[in-house]
Amino acid sequence: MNESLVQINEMGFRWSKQQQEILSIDEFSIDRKQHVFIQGNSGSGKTTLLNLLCGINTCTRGSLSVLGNDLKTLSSQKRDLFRGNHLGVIFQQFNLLPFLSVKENIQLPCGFSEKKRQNIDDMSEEVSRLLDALDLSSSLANTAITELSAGQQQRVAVCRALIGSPELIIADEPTSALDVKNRDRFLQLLFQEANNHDSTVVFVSHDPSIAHHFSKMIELSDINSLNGI
Amino acid sequence: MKTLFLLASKSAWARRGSLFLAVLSIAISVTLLLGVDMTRKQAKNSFLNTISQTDLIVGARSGPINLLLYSVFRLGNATNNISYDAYQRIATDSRVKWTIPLSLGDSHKGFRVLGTTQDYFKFYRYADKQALSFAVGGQFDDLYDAVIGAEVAKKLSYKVGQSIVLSHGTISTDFAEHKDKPFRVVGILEATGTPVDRSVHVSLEAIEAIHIDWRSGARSQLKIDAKQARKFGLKPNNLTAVMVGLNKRTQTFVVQRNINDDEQEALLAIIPGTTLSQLWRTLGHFETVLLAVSLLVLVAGLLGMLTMLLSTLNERRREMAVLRAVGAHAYQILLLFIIEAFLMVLLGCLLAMGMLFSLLHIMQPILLEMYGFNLLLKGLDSQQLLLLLSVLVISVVFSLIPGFIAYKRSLQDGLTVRL
Repeated sequence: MNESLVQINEMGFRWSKQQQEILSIDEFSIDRKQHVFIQGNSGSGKTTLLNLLCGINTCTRGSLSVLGNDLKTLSSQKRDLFRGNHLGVIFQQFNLLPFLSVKENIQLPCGFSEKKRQNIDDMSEEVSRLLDALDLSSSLANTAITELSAGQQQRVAVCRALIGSPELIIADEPTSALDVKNRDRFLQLLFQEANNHDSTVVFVSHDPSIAHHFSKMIELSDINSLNGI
Repeated sequence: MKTLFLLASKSAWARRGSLFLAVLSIAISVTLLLGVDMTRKQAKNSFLNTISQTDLIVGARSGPINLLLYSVFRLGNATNNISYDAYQRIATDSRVKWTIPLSLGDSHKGFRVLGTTQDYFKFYRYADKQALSFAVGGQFDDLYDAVIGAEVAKKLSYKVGQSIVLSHGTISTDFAEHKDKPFRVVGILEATGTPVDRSVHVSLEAIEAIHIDWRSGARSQLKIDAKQARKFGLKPNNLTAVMVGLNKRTQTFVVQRNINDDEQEALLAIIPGTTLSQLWRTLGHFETVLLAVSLLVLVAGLLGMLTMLLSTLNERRREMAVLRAVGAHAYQILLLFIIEAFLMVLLGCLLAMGMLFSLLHIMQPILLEMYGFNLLLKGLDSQQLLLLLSVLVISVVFSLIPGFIAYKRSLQDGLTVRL
């Protein structure tokens, strides 16, 4: 098994009803524990790439492997399970379910993944620890989501992505709704905890101003040979 | 699965305001349906149980339903009487086990007076072979004794010992009262839920006695007082109808034919059970319509739930995306909708049961008081349980529609929701 966490070879993707591919990457890999920034403008295939990495869609040509598993060869149910077991996902906004408390939102992935449950000894302790690590008071555990600020909500989303120590954290512009101060703090806490969990971070954004926080930066248009569609 | 149940109920709880209205409308429609079904079945039962164990009812030749109505339900009047001779021919037939002669035509404050013999208390059966029993007192022995039904006693607040005056004919008028021959209440029957409750029973001889100085429906000039009347041979010449019990049930049809073919008198013998169901069939369309209407109300309730589930689809799109992100499969999204609908309808059904039984509890004394209809508070029968089960199944089928839309959408949307 090779050292890289994500390995892409000769990969192409097109929607089933369309002739033209919208993403085509010859070779690309992400190493374990790396923090990668993928920069792309809207329409550059960012969302497509994320959906492929998460196993929502599968490539129509070539291969995309995560942790040595070619996602295309897994059934859709297996891919969902794989995502639940090995990935943590953070969206731009609206990450949290409003009818659950902070604690319940953070625990949510464990309800769908046996593996994540097994990675945790004491659930309450782990939730408090994560809240602490993300600079949130552990007294917030039973608060309603609606009472949190946007910055706090995004940090709760990080807690949820981190719980159960998934190998890969995927973040889709999680800082776009935050101001500069909150944004930098957010990134700092994210990296720190990702390191503690030995997690790899793939961070997608159109905003190049945060690229300097990352160990590796990739312009999506550089690796996508179908740039500009 | 436990996670999904928790998520479905918490998500539903967050939207409880609108969900509760849907649950309430389901509950009301289920209550209506079960209530109608229960009342319908009990009404039919009580109707068909008005008389039991009587093999034949014999009267003057008219229609079977007419005979049944005036002899059993005390409704309407006989078009003709049968002779006492004919009655004795029947009573002495070796195949006949017992007879109850009935003589109708008088009333007391709106309640029919029935002239009969002590055999009435011995052989008359209603419901499930139940015999008449006395709440207070006993049967009539003296000429001027009367036994009253439970409803008569209750409505007129009569006690044993009460003196009553019978009226000639079925409408109480002052000038047609048998004032000269008052009766004494000697017994009050237990409630039966049948027309017996609304009857005043006296002996056949008593009927003769009060009419001894009457000719052609009017008082004659000749006055014979109560004491004098006792001295007359009070043998009736006519009867209204006769209830007949046979030794062997299997002979019912033969005896019926023999009576119908009687050469000396135009008689009609009917089998009460058959005529009762015939009568019910003519009334029965009404219950079918009622049941159909309540079924439609239920469908409307379920459609209301469906509308509500569909209307929340858009606002729940992000919820679905989050669940997909943490590893939920699209079929689990479908399951969420099924669980939600199932829980709602289950709650609706439970609420309906509560409403139904409290309603029945409240209605029971009112129905008994106003219509003499004894509504029994019993549990649901297997048919009604099946009905509840099918309501649950239908709700699951209905929930597949929004569920499947959410399923398709969550496959398309993936993790990114574009709103």
